Amino acid sequence: MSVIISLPTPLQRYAAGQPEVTVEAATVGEALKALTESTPALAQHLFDAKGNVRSYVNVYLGDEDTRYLQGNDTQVSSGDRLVIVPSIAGG
Amino acid sequence: MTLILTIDQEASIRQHATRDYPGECCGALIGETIGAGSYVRLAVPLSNRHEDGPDRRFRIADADLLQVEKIARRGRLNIVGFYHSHPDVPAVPSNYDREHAWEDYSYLIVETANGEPVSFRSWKLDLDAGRFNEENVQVSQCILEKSAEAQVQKLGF
Repeated sequence: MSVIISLPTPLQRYAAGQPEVTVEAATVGEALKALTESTPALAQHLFDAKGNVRSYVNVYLGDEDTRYLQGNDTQVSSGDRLVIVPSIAGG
Repeated sequence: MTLILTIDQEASIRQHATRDYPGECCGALIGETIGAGSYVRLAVPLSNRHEDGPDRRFRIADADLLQVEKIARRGRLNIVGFYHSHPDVPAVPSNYDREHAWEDYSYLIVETANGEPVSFRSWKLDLDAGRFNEENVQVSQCILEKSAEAQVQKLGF
């Protein structure tokens, strides 16, 4: 199933400047794995040493944070869009 | 690099900083980067959701940022950066700013003194060097795109 992954501005530099990447996947985890296989430099920014999505990186399916669905096991359908949203803070 | 704002956007950010004083205000900057310029097409005021309160810190809710991403994508634009205020503190990034910053975003900081904006400065993170570099801020006379403004109001920001 073709899934579109939208990349935030800071991660686009690792994907040849593209704002989105299309991958083949049945779950969120497969989609992220496919993304980092095609653009390996993204891996260190998306995953921690244990392979989990970093705490300051959020992956949305529609309006839902996939952490509150089934995480990496969340099923995706053809045409779905995953949006990677970075945590923004300062002060 | 230069961050280019319209006069209306600058006024909107100034008003936001004054309105939220003595707390920190925050918002997103939607636009596009052309050459060495980041052109802001829309400044989106957002709520400060920091868990410690708005006095010294800001945080943008992930769900709010998702909506901003959608607006940007609809307009074939990007989020080029964020703004926030430093109440009674110079418009220079704090360590906390640096620890939470991402590359390629412009971080526009507004210093307010007794609630009045007195300084606008913008910064970009150099991740390898672990520091911010200042960029120019240019205010142009362009007119704010009313269709984009209406879209933001419809979404309740």
